[in-house]
Amino acid sequence: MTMEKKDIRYEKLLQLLRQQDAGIAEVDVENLADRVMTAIRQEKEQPQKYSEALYRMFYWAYIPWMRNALTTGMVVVIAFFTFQYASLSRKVSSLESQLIQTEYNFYQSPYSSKQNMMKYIPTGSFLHGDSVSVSTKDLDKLLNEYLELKNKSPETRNIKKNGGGLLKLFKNHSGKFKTNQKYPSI
Amino acid sequence: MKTAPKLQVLIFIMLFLFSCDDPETVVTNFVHPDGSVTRRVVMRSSKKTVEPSQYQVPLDSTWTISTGIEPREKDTTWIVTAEKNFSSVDEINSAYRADSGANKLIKRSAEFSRSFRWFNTFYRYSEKVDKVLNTKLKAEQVLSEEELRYFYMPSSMLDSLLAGADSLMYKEKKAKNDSVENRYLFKALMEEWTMQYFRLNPDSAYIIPRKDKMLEMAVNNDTKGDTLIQIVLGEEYYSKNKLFIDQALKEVDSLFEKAMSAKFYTCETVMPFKLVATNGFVDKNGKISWPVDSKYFVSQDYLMWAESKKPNTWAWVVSGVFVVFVMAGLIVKGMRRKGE
Repeated sequence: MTMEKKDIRYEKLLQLLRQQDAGIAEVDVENLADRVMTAIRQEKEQPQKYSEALYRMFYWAYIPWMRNALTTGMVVVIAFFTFQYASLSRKVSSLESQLIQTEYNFYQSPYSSKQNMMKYIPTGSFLHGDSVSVSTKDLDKLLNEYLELKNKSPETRNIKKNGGGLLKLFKNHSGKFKTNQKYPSI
Repeated sequence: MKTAPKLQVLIFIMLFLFSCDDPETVVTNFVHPDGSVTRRVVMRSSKKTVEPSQYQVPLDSTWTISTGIEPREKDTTWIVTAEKNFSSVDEINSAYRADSGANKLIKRSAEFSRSFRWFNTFYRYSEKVDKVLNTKLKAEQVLSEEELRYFYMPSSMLDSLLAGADSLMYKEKKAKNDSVENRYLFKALMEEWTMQYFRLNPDSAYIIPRKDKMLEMAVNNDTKGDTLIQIVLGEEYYSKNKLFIDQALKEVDSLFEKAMSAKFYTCETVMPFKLVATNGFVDKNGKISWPVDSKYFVSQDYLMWAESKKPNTWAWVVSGVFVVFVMAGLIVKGMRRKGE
């Protein structure tokens, strides 16, 4: 039953198609060759259109003074970039040598001096170049003794107090000045 | 010499001043891209309050001041923290000019500049302490590069080196460097004396050939000052020009006293963006430190500067597009020529 219905529909469709005229019958046979040739030509011209766009975009490259000016501009930009970054690289490498590798300000640190020194032990900075192994207890004792000595040292106290420099120089030479000497140099 | 007793008084005063409990001061400048500077002064002292006359940098009531304590094993350290935002370096300079603190006799100034350099914008902040003597003797003229490094090294950093693994080496270097530093300072003083003396008595033909000998004798410290000039210049010359010699010494004395009056402090700066150059010491956090000590500005201006940069992304893009455009144009033209 189903098959029959389908066959009927198919027959109807064929009939409709048969009633339509074939497309080729309406084609202007005389101009057919021209139309085909035109289509082929258009296809060939397509890349030329792209080329035309590139030509328009880079028109300046065909004008000598513009080409020279823009090329000079490009060279200047590249040269300036190179110069600036070479200069910066030199500065930064110089800066690296100014980097403080150790905690230099004991009295300004929020940690105690002992903590400060302990901080560098894991990184090896404090005991740099020392291959001797010591126990934690010994190390602790050493640090305590070191700190005690450091705090007792009058020189350390003076440096901390006076900031060293010329003042220290003056203090160091105070004995000399007592000998009725105006200045050591004069 | 007539002026000698005065020196003893000066030394006595200085020793008295040394004994005063001056606060350990650290000044930190947080520089902002717009040129404003947040200045923080931290003073550590064994006393709860710090007298305004002890301030190493100018502070007044417009600052936000707080006090804290830092407990230690044996004593307590009081920490006075003062902070203020300066809209520009001009305000800092005004404060320096009106300074009535411990360093009022030294002339200081700050400078900020921002310079556009296409790929980057550079920011530069500097603080300058003017030299005290009239003579222009630079440390570079006397000290070698390595000696200069030690000369400008913060004393606390030197301390840590002296306590470190290579302490013996550093001790040796320090001893040598101290002697060279002294030579520089002696030389600066002598140059100043010579300058002052020539102003009073332009007898350069007689003095200049004897300058080196005077310096050597002074540095080696074999001769007393009383007799040094007499020995080098001759008894007859000394007696004849005693008035000028003493007057020149007096001038140097006055200037040297001014230099000596300076109180040590540490100056720190934090720059905006990436730090690229400085003449200070940099820690791992990018904080730059300079010790402000009288020996640095005796005969040369002491300039503490730092420079940072901010990359201009838009300039990078514009430059990249431009370079690619020009290169593409040249390539296209070259290809066309080949095709023809």
